[in-house]
Amino acid sequence: MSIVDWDRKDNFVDPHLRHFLQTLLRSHSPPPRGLSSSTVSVLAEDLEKYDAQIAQLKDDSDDIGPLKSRRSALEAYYLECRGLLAPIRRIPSEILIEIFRLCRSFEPDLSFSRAADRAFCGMTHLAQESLLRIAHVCHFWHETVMGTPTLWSTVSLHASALSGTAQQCKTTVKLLEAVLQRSGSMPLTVKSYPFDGHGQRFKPALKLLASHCARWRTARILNSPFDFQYLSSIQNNLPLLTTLELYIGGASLDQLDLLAFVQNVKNLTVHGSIEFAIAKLPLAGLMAYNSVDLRPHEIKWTVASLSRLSYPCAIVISIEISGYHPSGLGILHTTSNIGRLGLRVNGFCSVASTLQILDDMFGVLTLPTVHDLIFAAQNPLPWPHTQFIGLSIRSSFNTHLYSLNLHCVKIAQQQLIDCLYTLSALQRLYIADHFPKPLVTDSLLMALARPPANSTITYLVPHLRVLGCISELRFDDNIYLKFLVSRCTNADGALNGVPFCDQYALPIGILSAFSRFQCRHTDTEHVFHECTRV
Amino acid sequence: MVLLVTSDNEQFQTEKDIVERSVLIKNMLEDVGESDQPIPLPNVSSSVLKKVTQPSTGPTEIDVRGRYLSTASTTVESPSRPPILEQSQDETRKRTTDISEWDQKFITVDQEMLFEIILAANYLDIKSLLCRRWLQDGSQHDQGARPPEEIRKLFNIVNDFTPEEEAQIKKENEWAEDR
Repeated sequence: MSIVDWDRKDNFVDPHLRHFLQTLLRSHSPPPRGLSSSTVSVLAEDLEKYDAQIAQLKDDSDDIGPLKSRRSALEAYYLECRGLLAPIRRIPSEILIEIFRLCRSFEPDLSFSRAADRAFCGMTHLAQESLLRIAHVCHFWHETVMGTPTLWSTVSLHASALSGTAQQCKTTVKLLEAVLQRSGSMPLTVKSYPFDGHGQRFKPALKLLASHCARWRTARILNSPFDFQYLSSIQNNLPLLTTLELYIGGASLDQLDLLAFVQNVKNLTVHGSIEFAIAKLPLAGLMAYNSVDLRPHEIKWTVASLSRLSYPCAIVISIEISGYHPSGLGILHTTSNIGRLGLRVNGFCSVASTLQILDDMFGVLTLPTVHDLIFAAQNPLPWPHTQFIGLSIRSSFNTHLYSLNLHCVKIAQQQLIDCLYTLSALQRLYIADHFPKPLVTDSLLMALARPPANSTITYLVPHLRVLGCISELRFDDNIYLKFLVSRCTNADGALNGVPFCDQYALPIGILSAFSRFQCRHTDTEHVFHECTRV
Repeated sequence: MVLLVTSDNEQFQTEKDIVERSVLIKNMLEDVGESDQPIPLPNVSSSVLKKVTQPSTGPTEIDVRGRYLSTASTTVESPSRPPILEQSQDETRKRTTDISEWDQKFITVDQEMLFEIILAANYLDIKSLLCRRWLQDGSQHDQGARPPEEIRKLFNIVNDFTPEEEAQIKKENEWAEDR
């Protein structure tokens, strides 16, 4: 454009040039040749001159009006030129979108006590206020944010957004509509959570969500089963749905009709007892199955469902044991061909009661194909030793159990060694020290070390490749080194590669309580490096 | 230690745990295994690499994996746990959204450097550097985005909305009046 002459003194009042600059800004085009940072510096200096001149004039001077108006035109011109040269304009759109994507809200802030404030936070979360703020920066960012459906393809309806005034509930539905519209035709992740009673207030929002069910790829619906009636339009219209999380605790048989339409689901999480759902769950084709929020007396239904799962399926059973009093769980003998089983125990009850729950479970299970077992607990979990050994023998763990993870499990060292004798196929072992007696000690490391070739001692877990520990480091570094070296060499003493010694990171709260171990840890690191050199 | 070579041919000996924040370098290390060979980074200059690899300058602790944990931050990244027991992605993401004091200082670099860091973070695949920190409001509890005016000021962006667009934006914000 020939009108561009950056050196012309009165450029900033030229409407053609200003229009040209504004068009460039809005189109996110590169700055014109000839516009450089030195131009911007000159303009900044000119602005200062104007300021100095204005400062010298009296407020009632006739000259001050026109001068101020020229200064403000110059300032707008300066800002436009500076904006055109801003490095952020050179960031490719795909990177900008990635940054915007990372700005999305993942959880609402619910630290407010007033229902209306909490509702507003739920609305802010649903509306993705962060994205809106970004969209309101400039024309190009607005077009980018509003015109990128993937930024809006997670629709997160927190129950708090529907817990405020009637007006707020109406607004929430409008916001939901706007977000769904911005998501275009993208497959959706829809969330309606957490469980917060039931009622009419959920009706319009759930109906609206259900009207887009053909795009659902992932759904997390933690409403009461009573509200499933509002999702009636999903019947036979969930072609993309592969991941589903449902709250079905206390559901009656007819409320679970929608399970008939989720047969393509590969990853399923169900909260609560599956007593009435067991026949309708799409268990056979699952790749991942989580049965969570189970009370002890509800375990029997989940255990019964294991027999319908296939080998590739990884299952996690999560039990809430608080307040449990032993009364017999009535779990039937079950054989399951699953590949991975995780058991997570939350809450606290007496050691005897916890042990009874675990004994009852381990005593009836047979897992002839499982290769990965994980035990985890909120509080240290007593170890059902006799029943585990029975399960191990019954299921022939010695041939196919490759990975064992005992996270927050209170197992005695001798019990662990006894278990390891029955697990000769084990390749990965994860253990953690527990109070008051540490588990990872000299004697355990010595037991895990490879014995000399001519030794008659049984070789414990000969295929061990990974040892993961959360340790108080109450062992001798030299013994640790010997363990590593023994595992690095084969029977002939030749180098066999270094076993991978992983260590869990501890939550920082625990770490600071264990600060005295940090120094030892560094020593151990040093030893490990020494070992790798060996 | 890992040897990195920048686009301007400068060599950097860097802690493995630090460089492994980059998914690109982590994958390269996994592919080539233990090796003394330098890793070339043709798209990253030495000045940018210095910024990208510098650990927290505040008081630090080293966790049991040898990672630096900034004590200025209120939370740390989730501990390594088996995926089967991993908490939901949302929870994990939420835990890693807090901005430490060091991060706040880190983002106060000049515009050109900021641009270079963003490009390098994208190339090296370091989400924590690429991310929202540039746009987030550290003073807010929920770490929402800064107000538009603040973002404009920070990045020299001109408010170029037409009056019609301003009206549209006002409409998009109407819901916020229902507090």
